[in-house]
Order: sequence, then C-alpha cells, then structure tokens
Amino acid sequence: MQKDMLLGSEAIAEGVKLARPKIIPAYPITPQTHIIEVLSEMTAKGELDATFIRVESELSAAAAAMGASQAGVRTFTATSSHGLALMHEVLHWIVGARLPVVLVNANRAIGSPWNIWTDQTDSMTQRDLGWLQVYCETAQEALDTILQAFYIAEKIQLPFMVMIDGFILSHTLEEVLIPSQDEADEFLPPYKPEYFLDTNNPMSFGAAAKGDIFYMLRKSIEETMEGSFDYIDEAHKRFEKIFKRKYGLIDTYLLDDAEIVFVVAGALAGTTKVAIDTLRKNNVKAGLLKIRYFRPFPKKEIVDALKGDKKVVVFNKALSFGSSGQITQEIKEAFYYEDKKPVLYDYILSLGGKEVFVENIVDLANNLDNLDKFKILWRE
Amino acid sequence: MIEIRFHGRGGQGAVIASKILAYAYFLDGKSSQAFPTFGAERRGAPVAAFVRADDKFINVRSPIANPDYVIVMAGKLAETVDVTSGIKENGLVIINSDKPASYYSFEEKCTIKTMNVNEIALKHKLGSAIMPIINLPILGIFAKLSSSVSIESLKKAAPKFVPVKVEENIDALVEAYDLA
Amino acid sequence: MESVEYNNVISEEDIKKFPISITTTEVNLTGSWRFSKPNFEEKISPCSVGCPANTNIPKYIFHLLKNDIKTAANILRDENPFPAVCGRVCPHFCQEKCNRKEYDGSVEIREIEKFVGDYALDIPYEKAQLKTNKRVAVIGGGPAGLSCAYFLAKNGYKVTIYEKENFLGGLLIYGIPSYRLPREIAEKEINNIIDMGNIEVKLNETVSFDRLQELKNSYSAVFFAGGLSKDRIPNNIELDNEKVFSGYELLKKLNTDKSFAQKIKGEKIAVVGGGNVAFDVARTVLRLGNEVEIIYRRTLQEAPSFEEEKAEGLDEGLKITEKSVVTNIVKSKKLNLTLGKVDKIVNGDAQLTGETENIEVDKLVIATGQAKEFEIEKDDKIFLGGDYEHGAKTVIEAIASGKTNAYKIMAHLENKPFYFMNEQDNFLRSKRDFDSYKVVDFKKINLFYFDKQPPLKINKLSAEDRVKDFKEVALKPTLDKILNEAKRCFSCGVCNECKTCWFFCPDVCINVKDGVDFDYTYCKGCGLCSAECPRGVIDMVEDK
Repeated sequence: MQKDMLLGSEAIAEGVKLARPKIIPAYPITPQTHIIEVLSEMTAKGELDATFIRVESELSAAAAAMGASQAGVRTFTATSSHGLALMHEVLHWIVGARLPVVLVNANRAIGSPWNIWTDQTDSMTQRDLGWLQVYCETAQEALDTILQAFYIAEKIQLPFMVMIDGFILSHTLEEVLIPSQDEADEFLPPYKPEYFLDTNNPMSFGAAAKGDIFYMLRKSIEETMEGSFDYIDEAHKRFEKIFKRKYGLIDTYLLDDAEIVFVVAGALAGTTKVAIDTLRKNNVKAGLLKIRYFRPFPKKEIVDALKGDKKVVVFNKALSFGSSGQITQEIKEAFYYEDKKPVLYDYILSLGGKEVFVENIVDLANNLDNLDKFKILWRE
Repeated sequence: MIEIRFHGRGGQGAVIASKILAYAYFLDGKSSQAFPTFGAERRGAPVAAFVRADDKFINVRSPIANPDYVIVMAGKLAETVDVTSGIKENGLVIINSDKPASYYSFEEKCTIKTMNVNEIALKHKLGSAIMPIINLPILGIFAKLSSSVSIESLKKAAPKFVPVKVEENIDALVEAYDLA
Repeated sequence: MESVEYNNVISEEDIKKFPISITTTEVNLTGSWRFSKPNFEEKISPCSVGCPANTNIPKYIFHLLKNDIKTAANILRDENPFPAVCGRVCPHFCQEKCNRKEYDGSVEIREIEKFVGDYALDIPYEKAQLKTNKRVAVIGGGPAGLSCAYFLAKNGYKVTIYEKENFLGGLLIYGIPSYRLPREIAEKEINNIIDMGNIEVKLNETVSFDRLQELKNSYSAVFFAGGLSKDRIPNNIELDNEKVFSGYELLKKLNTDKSFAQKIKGEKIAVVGGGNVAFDVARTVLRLGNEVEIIYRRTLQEAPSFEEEKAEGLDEGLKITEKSVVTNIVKSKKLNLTLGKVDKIVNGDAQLTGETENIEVDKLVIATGQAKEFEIEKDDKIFLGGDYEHGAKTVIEAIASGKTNAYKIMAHLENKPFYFMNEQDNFLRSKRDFDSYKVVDFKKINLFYFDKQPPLKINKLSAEDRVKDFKEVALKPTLDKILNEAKRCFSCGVCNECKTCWFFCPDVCINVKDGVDFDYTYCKGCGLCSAECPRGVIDMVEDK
C-alpha cells in the first residue's frame, strides 16, 4: 500500500490497473477522458497487460465491451453523460447476457443547453437497466469500489456501474492509498467464467427466446439483484480484512441522534459533512445518510437509518420531470409499508454543476420549517 | 484549514501551480486538495485554481469562496477580475507585477504584495517574454510569506508536475523565496 | 433453449439464468419452409456476346485474379488461338458491350487479353489426339484458315493447310505493320497451333479453282479462306510495281526486300484510300523516312480505318487530302498527279466539282480495297470463310469465321446439329438464337458492390519517338495496373466465387466452390443470395 496524491480519474485508472482487465474499449468524453487516457498510456507502456480498443463511439465501446466480456475476459469501460446515453441500448444487452462488465460513469449533465458539469441525470436515467450502481464520495472510495465492483459483478454475473462526480471528483487532486498488486490479487481472483465464446465448446448466446423463456431470464436477473446483498456484504468484509477499509451499502455521519438528516449520493456528501459540523456547533442536530448503492437499492438499511422522528432532506442531482427526484422516490417507496415514516423533503440540490457551498446547506437547515414537503423544492 | 485561490490565464500554469502546492502540503504531512475551476480549458481565458490544506482529511468540495491567500499570476488580471472576492480579513494577495503594491486598491481589507516574477522566470529561461512560466517562482514567494509550506517539499513536488527544466525551475523557486 | 439437451457442464439452473443454448439448430429443417428456391446458372456476359469469337472474358479474368494465369490463358485460348494478336489489333467489340461502359467506362479488356495472351505465348498446347480418320483441307493460312485448322485439330481431325506464300499467317505477317503487331508475336501463336499436332502445312501451294475441285475429292471437307487476293484498282490507274504499287504489294515488298526500303528513303509518297491498309502503308513509309500524303475521296471522319489508327497517324504527322481522287497521272522521272475535288459520291461513283490540283510524288500506292480472285459456290463439302466470305473485316472476325466453320464442318461430318456439339461451350451457347440464351444486362448488376473507378489509361510512345522506328506504339501496363483493371470486371453472369451469397445466407446452406451449391435441407428459399448476388448468377425459381 502506498500513499500518494492523485486526481480522481487517475485513482480510478490505478484501480482498474490493479484489477487486471484484458480488454478496455473506450471513447473519450469530458470529464471522463483522463481515465481512459491514463489507461491507454498504461497499456501502451506495457504496465497493464490489456488491449485498449479505440472505438468510434460510445455505442461501439459498449458493443465491444459486450463482445469482450462474452469472450470470457475481464472488461472495463468508462464514459459520461451523452456517452452513457448513447450506450443505452447495448447496456440492456449486457445485462441480458449476464456479463460482468465494469463501467465508470463520470456524472455529467445532458443537454440541451450545452453543459459539461456535474449532475446525476445521466446515470439516474439508467437505473432500470439491471446494472448495479454505486456512487462514490472520494477518490479513495472510487479506487476501492472498482476492485469491489469486479469482484461482485463476476460473482453474480451482472454488470456494475461506478459513479463519480464529474470534475468534483475526476479533476481534484487528493490523497489516495494505492493498494499493492499483491493485495489486489489477493482480493480479486482471476476471472474464470463458466460460459464464454469458445469454438471448442460451441453454444449460442442470446439467440431468440420466446416469452416464457424471456420472462424466466428476466425474473432470474431480479432474483440475482435481490440475492446480491449477501455477495456485496461478503465482498466488503473480504475487502476490510485485506485493506483495512470498511464499506457498506450506505454510510452515515452523526446520524443516530440527528433530527435533520441529509440524504446524499456522491461527492457532495463531503461538503454536507462540513455543513453538519457547522450546524452541530449551533446546536442543530443534523446528520448524514450517504447512499452508496443505488442498485440494488438497500431499502432495509435506509429504513433502519431514517425511521423515527426525523426530518429528512433528500438531495437530488437529477429528477424525473413530472414526478420527483429519483432518490426521493426510492426512499418514499421503501417506507410505504412502514408505520413510522419520516418527513421527507424532495430537494433538487444541484443540476448542471450549480455550485454548492457549505452555507447553502446550513441556511437550508435553518429554514426547514418554511419548506413545503408536498412539492419539489428548488434553491433560490 | 488554509485556503488558497490562484488566478491566471489559461495556459499560464495556474492549475499546475495548485497541484504542486497541494503536493508539497502532502509531503509536509498535511492533508490537501487541489482542483481547477471546472470547465473547458481555453488558452488565455481567465482561470482559477484552488488549494486547501488541513491537518485532517478535507471533506468540503465546493470552490473556495473565502480564501486565506490569493495568488494572481498576471498583474493585469487584478485590474479586470475581482481577484480579492471573499478574501478573509487581512488575507494576503500576491500579485505578479512590476508595479508597486500601492498601485492596487481593493475593497476588501487585505495585504498586497507585488513582485516582478516574470523577471525571475525569464532570468532562468522559463517560458518566453510573451508568456513567462512563473508557477514555481511565485510559489517560492508564497512559501516565504505564508510560512505554511516548506520550500523543501516544494522542491520535491515540482518535478512531479513540471518534468522539463527541473533545475531552472527549482533555481527560480529558491531565488524568489530568497527575494520575498 | 427450449428442448435443451444438457451436457454435464451446464445445469438446469444455469439455463434459467444465462441466455445460452447448447442444442444444435440442425434439428430445425428450415428447407421445409421453402416455396421457391435459388438456382445457380451461369449466364452469358455481354462482352462475350460482343466478341465475334465469344471468348469467355469474365471466366479468364476470374482465374487471372485468382493468380492462376495459366488457367486464364487456357480458357482464353479455348475460344481464340490468337489472344496476343487480338490483344493488339482487335477493335475490341467486347468493350463496346461491356456493362461497365454506362457506369464508369468499359473495362480495358484488350489490355488484359494482351497480358494473358503474351503469357500464353510460351505455353504449348496439349498435344491433339486423332479421333477420326476424316481429313479436312484448309485453303489459306491466314487467321481464318489457322483458326479453323486449330479447332478441327483440337477436336481430333486431321487437317492440311494449303498456303500460297512461303509462310503462314497471311495479313498478320505482311499486312499489319510491326509497330501495331510485332511479327514474332504472330509467329509464336501460329507455331503453337501447328505444334499442337494433327495439322500438315503445305506452303507455296496456290489453289486455283480447278485444284479446288480436285481437293474436294480427296478430303471429307474443304474450308476455303483464300482471302481477297486481287487488288481493286481504280480504272484510270495501272500498277507497274516500280512507281505505282498496290498497298499490300508495297507492304510485302518492304517486308521481303530490305534494300527496297533504303532505296525509297526520302521520297514523297502518295497513298490512295481510307481503310486500315492505306493508313498502315502510310505510317510504315513515314517510319522509313518518307514524306507521305493520304488521298481519300471522302472525309477523314468517313474513312473506314480504325479510329485509333487515324488518330495515331495524325499524331505522327500524316498529311491527309480529303475529298479528292487521282484523275490523271503523268509519269516522268517523278509522278505528276492531278487531283480532282469530289463534290459527292453517288452509288459509289465520285462526282467532281471540276476543281483540280497538281502534286508531284515519287511513288503512288493504291489501297482502295481487295476483291475475290474467283467465285466459288459453297456446297455440302465446301465451306467458305474469312474475308473471302464476308469481305474485308477484322482479324477477330476472320478467327470467328474459321471457328464457326470448324464447328459447322464437325457437325456436318458427324451428322449432328450445330448447337449441340457441347451443351456448356461458351461459344456455342453464345451463338444460339438470341432469345434462348441469357445475357446479363446492366440492370441485373448489383451496383452496391462496385465503387466507381475510371478505366486503365493506356500509355503510348510519343509520336516523335514512334516515327523513328517500328517499336510497338502501345506500351505495356504493369502487372498491378492490369490486375486493378481486371478487378473492375463485373463478371456479369459468371460466378467469381465472391461468396456474397454465402455471407448473406441466414441458414448457412451455401457452399461456394467451382460454382454455388445449395443445401436444400436447410435452404428456406428466402432469396437473399439471389438479391445480393452482384452479377446475376442466382435466380429464384419455383420449387415444385
């Protein structure tokens, strides 16, 4: 293990390198480009024994990733925003084929108007795919999550999407503990798929299936999702044992006695923690629930964390127009059959990179009683 | 926590300066963070970069609104951009300029230090007369005046981000440190 | 995934989870769905129809591109024993019909033929076997006679050629100048034919009308291709073979008497006529260092010579006096010619304007055509061919005439209908009634598979360089250029194993090797192969 200062995207590239993928098909897009830039250098220099495929679009990147994974090798790709949207069709196929592709999405808004800054619209609109989704707060968490993602994806044969905030994480230089290759290898064994394209053992993949079969296969994806918590838990325990860093489906900060809880996914959890410290100094009992896993959605953990007499402000960085912020929807749904429901505020914290300062959150907490819990809430 | 804001022109090295400084804090044993104003880089356009340093891990991820220090890499920027915006009371502004500190007046209460860093850079053949590369000498001045980062760590951090003219850069860093 | 046969690797649980299938699709006999089926049938290409000898152009190009030039050469010579000659002097009727013509310009077939033909010069024919005791006499050793002899000999007949000169080849040797056709090329192709066997050659044998009747009795059949051996000379002119020559006579003299060329060097020579012979004579004496003027009674545009010859001649500096005839000759040391201006030509007779012009020349050459020496009627033993039968035409038409007559003779002697000598023969299929054979026209070509690419540009010696000697005018393109040009061939109606059908077949039931085979157990008759075939060799037919 070695401590160094890395950009968020460099930390991810280090994580990918430690995971030893064999194929990396990717297409550049801001703010993700650094990731694949570093990976292509690593492959060119021979530091990473993988084939980097420069494709002509994200659709091709996803298709090549599907092919590579179907051929039975560990496969990584990264994208952002419009790129993720362009991949959409093939992302469905990757799930259907049960391929453990790991993808990093640097969260960025989708136009129009033109905008390269961060929000979570791109990945939130992909939530129904059947890909696992994790949102990261720090460069360290991003690196660590890459290793966990391959481990879990390959165990359960479902693809895994790791989110970082564009710029806020991807472009920030901060300290990171880089695991050694030996440690990484101990955690993540080589990928040995049971079924892959093999001329010596011919079988067809994804051939036409009528309703009965199709229905059964889709049901199996959901069953795997529901059963994946055990594997995730096992992965976290295994990770902690080797790397001494603890991860969960969710993360909390000063939550137990909190009267006001902020729910966040992504890097703004950090800024929120600073706001909570400030509020606590002024005797406001604030706390944080950080959502790491958005898919599968850890209902039980969230209900346990938020139940009781709390006011919960859900920070969304995306929304389903005509409904509400996606994270708010999910939390509301989780509480449907619970007797004691918290008061939920559906708050759109930032879109398209609108800056969030500590005082914005502090002010919000101080004005909570004036907010309408029946409406989508917007900043001034 | 120490918060530093750099103002520069695209291509002038403000982002690299911020990285070197953050890395030097890291080498000093502090926790640090460096990031640019987020956006598409365009040569010549005013840009800002930010550094935070603290004794514990830095959680906050917003741009620096209330810096302790402001480093202005081109004097002219101080006349067109609101460089002292939000600066803490008695914060320090370091301006690369051939003009005296008295030439500048800001609304905020702050200390102004000017120095002709271009001259130092050119003396060490860093960049051209049109665009001198001043990120290391100006960090030397900052190190001296702020006493928040060690010159030794800056020397060690520099080659990681500026792999060319390493010796000249370090000479310029030290000379500026001594002159400040 | 339904009715899965599990092997021990894949469990039932896995099948529920992974969209994989390990059964073979062979159990699904898709052939039972078929109500129409693809049928592979090679057609006739339009170039092949354009060629009087019906050479199978796409087929030999296909083998050339397969890097099997020997097979290409043999396919070419199956239909025409003179590819190196025709690659030089043929007016390429094939190219006129080429489907590529209306796309981006005809394929330069003649250049490809020349390339393959030159390669074939050094490949002897397989020795001919004697299959019958029937003997055929061929009168005339020009292209028609040699062609007839070749096809007869190849098919097992014993042939005797009677040639009045002391060499074979006729016009190929003394008629066409070597800057168009190097003599050794023609000689090699002739020797290859004779070396094949079954052919006896009698040189210096003039066959008169009476002699012909004798031969008729000693042979099963006689092919007469004696050519047009009599010069057709305007009434007011007399040949003296000193100052006034016929075109062929002059060419023959130049060929046989080297000192003659030296003797006339620097003289002014007038050539009367507008056909290939007139131009050949003019361009020949031009190369010998003479001043030449062509006198023609119509306009240059109307002159029957090949356009290529006219253009090259003009480039080389030929002077042409149009719409003029020689009305009077005064012989002294030189020749004083009076030229009368032609107003119009009515029923072949020139009507003059009355305008005249006098010129002085050293020699006058009359190249105004040839005529038959004597009239022969064809009967059940005598077959007529070549220029004698169809008048002065091209080399390839003479070859085709010899070939057609060879087949006619064989059909006659074996008492079989002409067209059923060999069902698959390209020549015979092409010769059938136009309605009954299938020619692939431009509309049947799937243009998706062909990028536009202009035809090969043929380089020639510059006019200044070529008048210095008798070097061949047309320069040989490189192999790369020939192959590139060959690749332009649509291969209309002829399978070139492009495998497009195989690629598109959704039921993997096509095998492409020496044609296209269909596995009708699985062919469901979707028709993709037929729709995609770039060259129209697969048709959908009713499946009974």
